Amino acid sequence: MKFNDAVFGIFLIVFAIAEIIYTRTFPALHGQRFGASDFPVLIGVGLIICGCLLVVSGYKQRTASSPIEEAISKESNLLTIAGWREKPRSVINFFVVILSILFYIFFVDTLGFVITAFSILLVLFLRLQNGVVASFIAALFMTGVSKLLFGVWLLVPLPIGPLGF
Amino acid sequence: MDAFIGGLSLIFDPYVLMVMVGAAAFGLVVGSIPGLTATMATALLIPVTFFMDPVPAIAAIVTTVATAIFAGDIPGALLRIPGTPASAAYCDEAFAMTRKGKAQLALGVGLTTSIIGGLIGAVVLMMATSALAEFAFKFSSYEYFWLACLGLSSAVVVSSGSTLKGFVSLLIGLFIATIGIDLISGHPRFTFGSTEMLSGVSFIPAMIGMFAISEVLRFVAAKNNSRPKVPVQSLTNLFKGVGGVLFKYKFNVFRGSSIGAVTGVLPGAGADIAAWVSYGVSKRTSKEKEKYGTGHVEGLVDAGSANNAGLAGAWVPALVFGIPGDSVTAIAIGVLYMKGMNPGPMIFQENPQLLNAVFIAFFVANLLLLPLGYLAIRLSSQLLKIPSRMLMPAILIFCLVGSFAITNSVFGVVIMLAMGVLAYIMEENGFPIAPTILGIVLGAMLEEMFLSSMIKADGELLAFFSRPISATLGVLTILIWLIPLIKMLRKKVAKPQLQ
Repeated sequence: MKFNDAVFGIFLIVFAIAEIIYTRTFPALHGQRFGASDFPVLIGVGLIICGCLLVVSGYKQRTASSPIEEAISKESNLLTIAGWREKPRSVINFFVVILSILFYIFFVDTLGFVITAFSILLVLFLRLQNGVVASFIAALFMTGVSKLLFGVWLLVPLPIGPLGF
Repeated sequence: MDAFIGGLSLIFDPYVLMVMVGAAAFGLVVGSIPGLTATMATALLIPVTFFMDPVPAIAAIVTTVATAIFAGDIPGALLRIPGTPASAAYCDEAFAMTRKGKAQLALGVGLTTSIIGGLIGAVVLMMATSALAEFAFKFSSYEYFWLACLGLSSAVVVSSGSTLKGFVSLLIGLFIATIGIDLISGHPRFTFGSTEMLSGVSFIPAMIGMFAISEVLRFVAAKNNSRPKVPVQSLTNLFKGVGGVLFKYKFNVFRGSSIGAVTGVLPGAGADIAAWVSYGVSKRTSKEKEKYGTGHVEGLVDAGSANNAGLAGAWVPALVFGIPGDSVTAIAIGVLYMKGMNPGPMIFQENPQLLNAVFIAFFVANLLLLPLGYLAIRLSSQLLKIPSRMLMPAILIFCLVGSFAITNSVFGVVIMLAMGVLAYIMEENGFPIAPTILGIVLGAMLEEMFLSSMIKADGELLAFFSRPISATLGVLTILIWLIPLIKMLRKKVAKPQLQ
C-alpha cells in the first residue's frame, strides 16, 4: 500500500495545524514564558516544513519529464495498490491479522484468554495454508504454551472466560 | 575492582546464566529464520524481561542480540537470504562460497569472527564508557540538549533512504513522546480525557507493534514467502581451515572490529551499517579486489567481525549519556528506565556493579556463541525447514499476550496495533523506523533539557552556545543539519554541468 509523498505531506500539514491549535489550550508555567505547549509547537512547525517539502517532492514525481522519471511517476500515483490486486489472498490475510487483534481487544475480557487465543490461532494457521489437523494441533499447543508462560509462570492475570480458564 | 567483582557475581549467578543460555538459544533460532530480525527478537523478549531483575533482563537482551546477529549469517550463506539486515552486506559473498562447496568455511569464519568482533567490541565498550563518564560529569542541561539533538540528527542522516523522510520519522517519534502528563508542568497532553493515556504511550507495546506486528503484516501481505531448499553440504568439521584464514587476515579482523565498534557508537548506525562500511573498506583496500563477489573470504572476515563489534559500540552512548546507538539499545534504555535505573554518568557512581555486569554479559554472551553457534550451524538444515507460516501466528499471539502483560489490560494491545500499522505504512513508503524509536525514547529528555535550559537562560538562545562543550556540540549538530542542504546544492550544481 504505497501513497504518493504529497498525500503524506498534506496529511502531516493538516495534522500539525490541528496539533498546534490544540496546544493553545495548554497552560504556561507559573511566572514563566514557557510551558507544556512549546515543545509540541516546535514539533508541529517541523512537521509543517517537512510536509511542505514532501508535497513538493510528490508533485515532482507526478510531473515527470524523462522516460526514467516517467517510470518512477507510474509508481507515484496518489495511492498505489496495484500489487495488492494481484494477490487477493494476501490482502485478505492482512485484514484477517488486523481483525484478529481487534477481536482480541473486544472479546478477550468476555470469552477469556484461552478461547480467544485458540480461535485467533486456528483461523490464522488455516488462512496461512497449513493443514486442518496441523492447524488444530498447533493452535492448541501455542495456546497452552502462552497460557503457561505468561499466565502461570509470569503470573500475568490473563482474563478468565465463562468456562473457567 | 570491587565493582568488577560485584559485576562478576551478578552475572555468574546460576539464574542469570540460565537466562543467558535460554536467550542465546532464542536469539539463534530467531536470527537464523529469514524475516525475523534481531530487533524483533528483542521486542518479543521484553515482555518476559519485564518480570526480571535488571541484570538478567539486560543480560538476556545482550545475549539475544549477539547470537541473533551471528545466526543471520546462516541463511545468508546457505540460502542467500540474510537472516538479519546485519548479514546483508556479505550475504552474496558467503553464498558464492557455498556454491563453491565452501559453506563450512564460510560459516566457520562467520562464527569465529563474530566472537572475536564481539569480544573486541566489549573491550572498547569497557574502556570508552569509563573514559567518557568522567567527561559526562561536566555536562549541564545545555550539553545534554545538544547531545540529544546530535544523536537524533545523526540517526536521521545515517538512516537508510531519504533524509527528509528520516526527519518526519523522528518528529513522529518526538510527538508520540509528548503524549501523557507533561513532567514539568504536570498538565496532560493529547490524552483526550483517557486516564490510561496519562502515563503516555507504553513503551513495550509500542516496540512490539513497530518491530513484530509490522513484520507479521509484511509477511502476510507478501505474495511469495517460499524459501529455497538448503543445499546439502557437510557442516561437521566447522573450524577446518578457519585458523589459516584468521592468521592470513589477522589485520582485517582487527580493522573490521574497530570499524564496527566506532560505527556502533554513532547513534542510528547499528550493526548493519557497520557491516556495510567494513565490507566496503575491505574491498577498496584489498590486494585481491577482483575476487570480491566470487566467494572470497576476506570481506567476510572484515564484515563478520564488524557487525558483532558494532553491537557493543552502540551501548557506549546509551550507558554514558542515555542516548541509544541503535534500535536495540533504545529498547534496552527503555527497559532500564522501567526498572528505575536511569542511564547516564550517575549510573557509574550509583550502580557500578550493574555497569560491570553489562560489560561481563557481553564477554559471556560472545563466549556462549562458540558452543551454541556451533550447535545452531549443525542444526541449520532443520532450523531452516521451520516454515514461517507456522511461526507468524505464534509470534502474533506472543505479541498480544506480551502487550497485555505490560498494562494488564487491552490498552497495551491497542497501542501495539496502532504502532504496528503505523510502522507498516511508514516502512512500505520508505520512512525509516529507527528515528521514530529514538524519538520516543529521547523525546522526554530532549524536552526537559530544552525547557530547563530556556528557563535558566530566560529565553536567551545564545546561552545554548555559552559553554565550550555545548558550543562545540551545538556547532556539530548544526553542521549535521546542513549535510542534506549541502548534498542538495551539490546535486543542483552538478546537474547543469551534466547537461
